[in-house]
Amino acid sequence: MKKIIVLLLVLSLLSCAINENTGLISIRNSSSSSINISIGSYKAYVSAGGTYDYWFYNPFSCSVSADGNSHVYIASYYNDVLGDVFYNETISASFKTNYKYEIDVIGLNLTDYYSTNKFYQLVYINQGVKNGGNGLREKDNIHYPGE
Amino acid sequence: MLTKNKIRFIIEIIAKKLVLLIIIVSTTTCVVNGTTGLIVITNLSDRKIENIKIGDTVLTYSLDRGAKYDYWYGGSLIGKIKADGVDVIRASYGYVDIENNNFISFYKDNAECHFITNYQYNLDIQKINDKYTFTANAGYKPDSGNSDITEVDFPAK
Repeated sequence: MKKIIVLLLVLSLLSCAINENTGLISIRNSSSSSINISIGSYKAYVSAGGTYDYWFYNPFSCSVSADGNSHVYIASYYNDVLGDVFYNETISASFKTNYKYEIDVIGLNLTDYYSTNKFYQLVYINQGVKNGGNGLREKDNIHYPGE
Repeated sequence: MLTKNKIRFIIEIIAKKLVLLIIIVSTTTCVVNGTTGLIVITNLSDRKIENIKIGDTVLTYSLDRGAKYDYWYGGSLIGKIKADGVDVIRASYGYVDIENNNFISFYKDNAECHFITNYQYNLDIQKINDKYTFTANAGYKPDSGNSDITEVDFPAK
């Protein structure tokens, strides 16, 4: 019993941090329905209004998908002309340690020509921000997972 | 007089309840809804940031480099953001341009902020152009009644 308590206390006190050996993908489901997101072989269930943190310990490339009536958009590059990040509707992404990536799930209810309501979940995989970097001074401060 | 056996018995009882409590706490997950809001603070700078507050409410006393902290709240949090170790504090401000179906937003420095329930806000600390910058981004609302459309709230007022 004592060993279990010590183990649980240690586990509860251990906290991850982004560093050279660790990266974070933080998912925020801001839609009104739950969603299953697959990042490679890893599957994350995120309830409506819920958040999910996926810590990883090696850089990796994989396919990303989501269930239901969803579309996945991955930040691919910075568009100098538009002054905004360009998102590609693709399935492959790469993630690096020492970076934090945010995935936003947004709900959208559209009414078509026949007055039928259709609910969509848009999954935006945003650019990663480097931990300890110096924005505007260092080129690698931002990483685009879809580049 | 407590005997060794009695003390052991009491410790066993407390231990069992403690394990149960820890399991319940660890398995209970919060969601953002009408009575709950979430502020996620991530320190992506190269130094520790201390005494992070909104108004007089302390969110956390210390946040190491690379660390992330979730602050769940009920009711609203109102006030200016303060933190030791940062040079710039900015919060997203804006409004919805209904006519053109667009958001117009920018950042305000040292603004009075309102963080309300039903929204999740991401607050990031980054070193930008050699300045330690604390940014409060727009909050996202998971549900909006019958519309099912995710809404956005700008914390700066």
